[in-house]
Amino acid sequence: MLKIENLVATVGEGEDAKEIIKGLTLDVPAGEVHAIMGPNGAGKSTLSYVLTGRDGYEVTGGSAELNGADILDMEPEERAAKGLFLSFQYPVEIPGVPVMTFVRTALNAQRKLRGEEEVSAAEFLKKSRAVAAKLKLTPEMLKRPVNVGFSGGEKKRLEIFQMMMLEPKFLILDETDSGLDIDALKTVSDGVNELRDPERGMLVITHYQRLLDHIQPDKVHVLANGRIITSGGPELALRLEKEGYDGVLSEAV
Amino acid sequence: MAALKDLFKNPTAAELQLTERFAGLPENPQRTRNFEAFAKTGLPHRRVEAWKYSDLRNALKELPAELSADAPASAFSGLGGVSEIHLTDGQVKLPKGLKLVSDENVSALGGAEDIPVAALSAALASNRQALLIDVTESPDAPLHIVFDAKTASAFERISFRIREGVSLDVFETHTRAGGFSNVVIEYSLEKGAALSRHMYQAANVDAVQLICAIVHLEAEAKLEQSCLGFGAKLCRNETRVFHRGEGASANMNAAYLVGDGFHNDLTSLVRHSKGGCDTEQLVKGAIMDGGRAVFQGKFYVAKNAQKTAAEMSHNALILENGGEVNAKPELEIYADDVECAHGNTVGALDDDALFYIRQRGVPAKEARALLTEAFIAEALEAVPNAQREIMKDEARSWLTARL
Repeated sequence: MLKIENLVATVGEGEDAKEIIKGLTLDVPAGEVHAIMGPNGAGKSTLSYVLTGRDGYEVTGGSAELNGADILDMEPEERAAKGLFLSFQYPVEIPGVPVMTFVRTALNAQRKLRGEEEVSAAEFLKKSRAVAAKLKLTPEMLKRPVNVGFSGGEKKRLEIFQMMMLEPKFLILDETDSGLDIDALKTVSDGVNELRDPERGMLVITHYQRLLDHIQPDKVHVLANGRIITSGGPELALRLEKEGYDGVLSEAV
Repeated sequence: MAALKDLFKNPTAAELQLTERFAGLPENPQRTRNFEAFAKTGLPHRRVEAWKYSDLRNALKELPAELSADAPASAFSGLGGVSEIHLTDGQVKLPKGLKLVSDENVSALGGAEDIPVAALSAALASNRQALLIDVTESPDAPLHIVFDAKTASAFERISFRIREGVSLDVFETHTRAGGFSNVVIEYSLEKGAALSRHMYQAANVDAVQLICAIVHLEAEAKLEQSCLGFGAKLCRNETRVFHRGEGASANMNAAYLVGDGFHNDLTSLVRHSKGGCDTEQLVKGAIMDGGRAVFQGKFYVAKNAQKTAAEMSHNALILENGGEVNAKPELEIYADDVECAHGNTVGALDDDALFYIRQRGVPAKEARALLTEAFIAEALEAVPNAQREIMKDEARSWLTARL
């Protein structure tokens, strides 16, 4: 599914370019959920931006493939059409563009890039109603501009809404638990768990173990200083929670 | 003719041609007064303060001989539910509630000296291109006034007198295939009258297009105005609003999209002469490389116009390097108990938002179009649905063709 090998990437341009990802190797097979944990500044968010192709991040070495296709040379929208979805740590406001218009535009744009037919208005409406109900999003919220005036929890639910509507093949969840209270965390996690599928892979980036109580990973990786320094099962997350990053980091050196 | 020529200091070729046209019209003291008002300034140029960003004299060296072949299409023609009137038609058919007082409107143009090009239009608009209309009853359907004169030079004038308590809904389309057009429109609203005026302007890159509206609001009268404009070689769309009675209000918005080689000038002056009047103005636009947008907005508040509430904001997006925006917001306030503000921003599209949209699968070009359309659409919210949808379609196809 997602195969990253010896990835090296910099942030910034010219003389200001700074290496943040320093030889990262990771393999997430279809059907599995992997968690990446790590201290602040380890390169967690950078990894998600490098994989999705944000401007300002440059890959200087290594490779990343999704289902055998090299994604690093693709435009962000092509990666999305291939099935890569990033749930943003801080979802962005899109003033003037209502949620429904936005998601339908995105869905049809992806379909077009894949050479598929557009979704019919009726089909789209039916599905969006069902998904919105599950996520406790009201029809009024879906008429509002994307993320404008939404609370932290609503924004994250809206990310899950988009995920369920777009049905990507591979999900990257960047600090999805930040800004969520217990109830919202449960709604969001339920949504993510519903998307678990033998054909779908997930990478859950998080600071805290808390989210992993709800979204149970098959594997946990610790990212520090631009590399995966250790990997293990779900018990590794519990150990990190108990001992902090310092213990694991000193062991790895 | 010789005497007329002498009204100008060093007349240009275009000014001489305009003088000739005037000399060919039947004599009339009002006409002469208007022409003399024009001649004082002549075709305004950079050194005339109100025209410093829009050099009309330079853009109109001589009167064009003919129109271009490809007229901009109007998606609004034949739109149902409106009464369409064309000034070029032999006989203007007006809906119930509207009465043609004169089709040779030579009434006085107030403040003609300050608005030389409007004075020119009033001097040269003649038979059937100069209408004076009385609005005595609110018509059933909105009025669609089509300004698309098929002559290389066109001078048109329409004046509406909207009687007490009467409402008039107008949709104006100003489309030109090159040439020179100069339109002056007057709306005089009596006490408690209401005008909803929405406009669409599009022209070829070689057109010189001038639109000047003068709106008088008596007590409690209401103006609701908006416009989508694409500019021309030089397009100036000017609105002058006079709050002449207490409690009048004006809400005037505009959106613009200016491409390579186009120039779009939105100028407005709102004079608050009586107390308790409101003005709200929102102007939003976007420009491409080689495009130039001008926004000049002025609020004047007289000493006795206490409790005036006026807010002006202009926000421009520069979509490509090389686009130019000249903004001149002005407040001139002599009263001490007022709430007046203006804001002005010029910026680029938000990179975070662009990436977010692209991450969801929308190609860069469409993402930029989507954001820009949403940005300007805020200024078009008051336009009636049918026309607004067409405007948004026009904006979208314009953007997708260029981004």
